[in-house]
Amino acid sequence: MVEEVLYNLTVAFSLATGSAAGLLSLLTWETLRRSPFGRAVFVLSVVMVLFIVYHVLLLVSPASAAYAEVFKSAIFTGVMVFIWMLVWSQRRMRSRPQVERVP
Amino acid sequence: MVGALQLYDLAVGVLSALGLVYLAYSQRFIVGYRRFFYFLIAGFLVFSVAGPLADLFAPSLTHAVHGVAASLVILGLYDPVHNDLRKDEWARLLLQEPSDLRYPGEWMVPMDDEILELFHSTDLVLTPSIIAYNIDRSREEVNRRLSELEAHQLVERVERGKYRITQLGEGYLQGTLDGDRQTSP
Repeated sequence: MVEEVLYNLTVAFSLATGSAAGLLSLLTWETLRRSPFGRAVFVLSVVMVLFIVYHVLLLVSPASAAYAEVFKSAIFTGVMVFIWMLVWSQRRMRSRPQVERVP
Repeated sequence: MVGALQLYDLAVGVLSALGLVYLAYSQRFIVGYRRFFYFLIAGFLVFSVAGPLADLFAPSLTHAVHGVAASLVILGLYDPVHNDLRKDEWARLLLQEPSDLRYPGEWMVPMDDEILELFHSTDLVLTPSIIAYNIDRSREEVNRRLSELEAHQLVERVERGKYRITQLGEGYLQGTLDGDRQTSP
C-alpha cells in the first residue's frame, strides 16, 4: 500500500516537472529556433513530450507493461540524439571561419 | 526482454554521458548562459546515467530520479526563456510612440509635447518665435503654452522672452513624471 502510494507520488512528481520542462523547452525553441541550436532544442521538446506521455502511461496502466519499457528506451535514445546533435552543432560552429573585424 | 532493454538504456545513457562530458569540456570558457548550460548538462546526466542505474538497482527510485532530472532541466531552461520574455517587453516598450510612455496632465495639450521635445532635442535657450517657426504654429499659441508650462515648472524663463526646459520637463519627456501629480501647485 505504502509502496503503491510512493510509486504514484514519484510518477506524479515526474509528470509535473516533466510538463514544466516540456513547456519551457517549447518556449526555448521559440527563442532559439533560428540559432545553430534550434534543431537540437526542437529534439529536446520532442523528448520532453515523450517523457510526459511515458509518465501518463505509467499512471493509467501497470508499471510492468512492456510497451512502457520500450517507450522509456525510446526516450533514452532521444536524449542521446539530442546531446550528440548539440555536440555536432557546437563543432560546426567552431569550424566556421572567423570574420575579420573592421578596425 | 525487459532486462535487455535496461542494459540498452544503460549503454545509451553512457553514450549520452560521453557527449555531455565533451560539451562541458568544450564550453568551459563560455561565460554567457553558463547557468543554463550546466543545469541542462546536470539534468541530462542524472536522467541518462542515474536513471538506468536506479532502474537496475533501486527500481522504486526510478521516477524520483526522473523528477529530479526534469527539475534540473527546468532550472536550466528558465533563464533564457525569462530573459527572452523580458527582452520582448523592453522592445515593445521602446518601439512604442514616445508620447504613449508619458503621463500628461489634464491641463496639457499635444502642442506641449512638441515644445518640450524641441527644447530637449536642441538643448538650447529658445524664444517663442523660434519655437513657433520650428513646430509650425503661431507665436501667440506658443506664448500661451509656454506660460502654462512655466506655471507648472516644466520650462523656466531665463530672461524676458527666453525659455529653457527644466529637470521636471525632462522627467516628463522620459515618462518618469506625472504631468498632473508632480507639477500641480
